[in-house]
Amino acid sequence: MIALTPFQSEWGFVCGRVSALEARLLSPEFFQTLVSHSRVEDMMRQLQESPLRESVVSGSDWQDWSGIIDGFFHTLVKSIRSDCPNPAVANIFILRDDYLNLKLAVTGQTDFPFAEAMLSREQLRDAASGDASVLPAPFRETAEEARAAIEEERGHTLVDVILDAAYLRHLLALGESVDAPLVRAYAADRVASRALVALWRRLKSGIPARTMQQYMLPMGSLTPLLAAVLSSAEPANWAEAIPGDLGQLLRQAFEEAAGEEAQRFDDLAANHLVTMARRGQGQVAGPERVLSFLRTVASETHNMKLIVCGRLSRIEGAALKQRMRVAHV
Amino acid sequence: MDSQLSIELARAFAFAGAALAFCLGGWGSARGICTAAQVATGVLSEKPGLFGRLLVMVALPGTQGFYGFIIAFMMAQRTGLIGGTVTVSPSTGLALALVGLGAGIVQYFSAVYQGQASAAGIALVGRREDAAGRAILFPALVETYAVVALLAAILFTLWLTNNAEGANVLQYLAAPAAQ
Repeated sequence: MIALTPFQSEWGFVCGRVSALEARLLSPEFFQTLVSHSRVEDMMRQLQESPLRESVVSGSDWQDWSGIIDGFFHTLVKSIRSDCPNPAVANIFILRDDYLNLKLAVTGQTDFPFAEAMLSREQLRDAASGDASVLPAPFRETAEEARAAIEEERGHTLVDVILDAAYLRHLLALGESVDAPLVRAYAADRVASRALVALWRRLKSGIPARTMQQYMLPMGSLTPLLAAVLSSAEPANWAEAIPGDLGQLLRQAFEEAAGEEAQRFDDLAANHLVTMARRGQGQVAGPERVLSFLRTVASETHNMKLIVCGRLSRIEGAALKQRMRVAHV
Repeated sequence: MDSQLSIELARAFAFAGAALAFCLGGWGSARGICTAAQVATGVLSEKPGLFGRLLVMVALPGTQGFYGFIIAFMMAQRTGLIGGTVTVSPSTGLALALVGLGAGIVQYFSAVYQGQASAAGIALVGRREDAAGRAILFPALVETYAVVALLAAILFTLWLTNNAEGANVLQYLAAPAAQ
């Protein structure tokens, strides 16, 4: 079992806030009821009991709701981040949007629909106009590498691979910058699971393992694991190379979901991360408590988007239930 | 031993005992309150209505500072420091210094730990307001050992300054002459 760090009073304020905010977390029953409504009106009525009540506007389509729910999550994470002695814990949850915006910037677009996390709109606009020097490291190196790939016409898929790899490396570095074993272990498992799913999908789409190896490695402390995985192009054999819970989850995905193993593994890994982060609830003042709370909110956000957007798109509740994630209270 | 030196030594030891008691107690209380207050302000930023309930839990670690002051005052009063005439021997002064150190250490750590226990209780109240009554009990239990240390320090100070033979510096100085 991963040990929690001792009481760190400088985290006291943000952990006090988190304690109060935990009282507003939605129960698993809330989501079960939400997904079981047969009429959209009933679902909207139930949303009045959630923190999103002020955003409930009749006539909104699923895209509006996706934006509302994402916006709510980002506002909360950034608010928590502003009170954290080390913002890396919060950045773990919103870093992805920076890389999605960066991808648009390196392809010359100046409209950035994803929320700001560590990069401002001005920095992204400058990067879009070709001046990557305004970006902080490691975004700058990533932008330069991706732009070079575009100029050499190596294909947009390769740009995706470069940005995926840079995002995962950055995520791992964020986790390692926090002096808490649980946060480090969480970031390592998060990166490992995301990397496996990314490799799986890229290999399936026809990108050679050698190309993936070239751009995905090195990946910090996960380099030996990913190198071992990449030595076999057949995901069914990966479980043998992956120690611990993730290897077990990979075997489970193959047993439970023939044909949709990657998606099943993604869901199982997400639930594993929620359970892992939940241990941080035992911390009174420390980064683990913040990690635990934000992970739970991230799961709630996923479930809320899945149910609301799914139901508005007329997807059956039973199909949505399978994709719902664990959300501890 | 030179009589003036004996008086100065006795005074220094007695002062040291009193100073250690109130310094360590006050320092621990300040740290404990700071710890609890940081968590409490975080909770209040989301739920300002909990101020009344949290105030008591933030104030809990403050008692050790007062206990340290009581011990220090009693030592000063019983040894003549307040009146200006030291009435204990150097050995009694040294014993009082050790009593002050021991009591101060217990006051310090009990205040720090009580601050952490209060912070945990405050976090619980932040999450579940109905738990306020129960949440205050656990940090209050830490107080027990601060009270035990206070009582022990009071009793030891009383016994040491009970005018037993050799306890009074005048008796101590007079003793060799009598022999």
